[in-house]
Amino acid sequence: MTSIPASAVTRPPVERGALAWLKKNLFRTPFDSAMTIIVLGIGVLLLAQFFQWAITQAQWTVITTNFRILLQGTYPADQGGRLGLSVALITLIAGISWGIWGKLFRATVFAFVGGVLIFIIVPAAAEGLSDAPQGTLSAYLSGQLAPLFSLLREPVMLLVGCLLIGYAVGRLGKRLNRKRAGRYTLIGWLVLIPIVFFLVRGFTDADGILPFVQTNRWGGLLLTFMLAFVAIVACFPLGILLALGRMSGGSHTLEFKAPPRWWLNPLQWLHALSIWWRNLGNYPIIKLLCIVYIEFLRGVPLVTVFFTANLIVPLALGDNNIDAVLRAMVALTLFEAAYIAEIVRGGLQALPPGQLEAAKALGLSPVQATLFITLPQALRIAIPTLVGQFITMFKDTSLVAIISLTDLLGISRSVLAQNEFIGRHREIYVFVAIVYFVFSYGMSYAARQLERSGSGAVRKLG
Amino acid sequence: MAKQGEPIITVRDLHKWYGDFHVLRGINVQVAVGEVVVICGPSGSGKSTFIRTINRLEEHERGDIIVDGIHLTNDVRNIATIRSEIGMVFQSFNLFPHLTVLQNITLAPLWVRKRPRREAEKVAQELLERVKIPEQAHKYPGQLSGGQQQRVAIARALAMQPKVMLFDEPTSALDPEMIKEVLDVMRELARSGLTMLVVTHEMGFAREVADRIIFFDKGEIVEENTPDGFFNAPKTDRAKQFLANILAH
Ligand SMILES: Nc1ncnc2c1ncn2[C@@H]1O[C@H](COP(=O)(O)OP(=O)(O)O)[C@@H](O)[C@H]1O
Ligand SMILES: [Mg+2]
Repeated sequence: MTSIPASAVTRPPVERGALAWLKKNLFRTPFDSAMTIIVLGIGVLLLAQFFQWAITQAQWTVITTNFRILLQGTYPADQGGRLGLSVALITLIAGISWGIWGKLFRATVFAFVGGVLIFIIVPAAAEGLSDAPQGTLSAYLSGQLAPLFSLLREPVMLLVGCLLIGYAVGRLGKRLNRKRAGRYTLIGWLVLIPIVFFLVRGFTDADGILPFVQTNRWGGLLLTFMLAFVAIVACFPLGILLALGRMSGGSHTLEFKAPPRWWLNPLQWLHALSIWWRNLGNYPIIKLLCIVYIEFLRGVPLVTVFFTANLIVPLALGDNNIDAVLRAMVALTLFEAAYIAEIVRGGLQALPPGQLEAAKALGLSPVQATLFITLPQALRIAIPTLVGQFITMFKDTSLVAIISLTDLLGISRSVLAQNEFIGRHREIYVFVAIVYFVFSYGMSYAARQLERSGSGAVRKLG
Repeated sequence: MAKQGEPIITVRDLHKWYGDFHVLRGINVQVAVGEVVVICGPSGSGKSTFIRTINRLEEHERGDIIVDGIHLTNDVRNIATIRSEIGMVFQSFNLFPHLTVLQNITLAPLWVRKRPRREAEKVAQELLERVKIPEQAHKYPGQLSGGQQQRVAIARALAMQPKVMLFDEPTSALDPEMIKEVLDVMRELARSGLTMLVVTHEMGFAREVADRIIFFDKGEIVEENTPDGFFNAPKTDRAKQFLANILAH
């Protein structure tokens, strides 16, 4: 029997291109094809309905008239620049981080540029149509869409601009010195947290540079942001302590051997704190408290926690005037810390036991082993779940409307109560949904990039 | 500090239970400074458990373990001291995947021994030369082959300048062509006079390098012998059976 020499055998042709993809993924079998057509049909129908409404019927004046209040509540208009600056700073550093750890795909750039162009073109195109006869599409365009788009134009340009500038800076930093750029960016995030907080809150009296703004004037998207921001920043360390507390126990008291001038080194601070915490963990009562805390808060709805905090925080502090926003922040932080604790615990338990054994065998103390070996790995494992929880948290802030705070959703309801805008539910809820979606999607996109960048270091380990 | 030829590890009448299961049943061993002792025996006979009690990765219930004059008890300070004097190499390497090779090696010298960074890094680089992978310092463990990872693990343990090194089947997780590169490093260590306790199935290595062979079965030491004696004329039937099995394949 003769056989063809291997070098003469050619690979069967591989079908490429959009058509082949469609065939393979959507029309492989008759059933697939039927499903594809039905689902696609329904989708197109719904989208067509939506757009037909959104660009020919919707009365967007409810948004344009209340634009400022939706974004910042009754935050003083002349102080709005402080908010703009905060947003710019955060977006800038987000862009820098993206440049260092992430990758910007061409499609994303097109989406960004396209998005910005729409906001520039629509108002410009409507310019000449201002005296179109009533009831025509042109009249609708200039009367309803153009004002909305021109109001959104500046914020969108600010966001996209800062993001892209940041990205370029991050790329440059990465090229110059990746390690140092990364470190400075992390420090930048840490420094930015208090800066943003004080920028928004202010601390001088009325004629100072940053006059204090009472939290009862924070509202709309600003309030949503600040609630989520403060709660995320605060619940994260609390959740880690709870997780470690829950997993602690059965070991010996540790001593903090302070090296000279230890107070100059933040790592040593952390070290001292965690030794203290771990020694507390030797008492089973602490472990028990952590378990009770976690299980209890995971067992009640957030709304009840908001209500309770609203009643109990003033009682506990003996002060009835504790500001409502602070109460909400405390409630949200305490509630979410329980979830973060369980996520972190899951990460810790997912580690192979050999990691802790190797750390012990090298003579690392349990605190050092936690700080340098198990916790960093556990957090990296937990990133997707953690970010998922942060997104949930961002959306959960909308429940504060129940304790009469006016976050983005709460303020929408008071807008709807105005005589002029009764019945404009669709417009306002569509707007609110899009705002929530943009930021939630941004967070989960960032998390995916972060995961991918970390994965090089955590590749398979035998 | 013990001198050449004096005992550095003394284990007397060591017992351990996992629940009702009596894993270690009265182990007596002495290891002298500079000695290379190979432990072998069938799987599940308690070899790993035994060497893990020496640095307290497992607690024992009865008997004494004395390392370099320090009694291993529940006292944390003793445990910490003993652990920093004993290096350990695991079957599954257990490198820290989120740290570079250099960081893996310098971590304990920096934080346990409180060495200055520059010195720790210099020592680490020298150790990487010694295990013949100086060019991998800035890679992550996941980017190395199994043999390279195990050599990094050896360097990591050596960086603490341990008085004793424990090896728990260091080559069992490796592909055949990588076993040799790890055994070569271990041979060189043995020649340099390091005290070593090695659990292994590599009988060629044992015959060549060991000063003494300890044969474990069912939680007991069944035979203690010189390599020549053990391989050419085992005293016990169980050892004969074991050697027959292991040489048969
Ligand atoms: N953590 C544990 N809990 C219960 N039994 C264990 C545990 N670790 C090991 N064993 C049992 O103890 C015996 C000795 O194990 P090991 O020391 O690992 O043996 P070897 O290393 O000689 O193969 C085995 O039968 C094993 O199943
Ligand atoms: Mg074993």
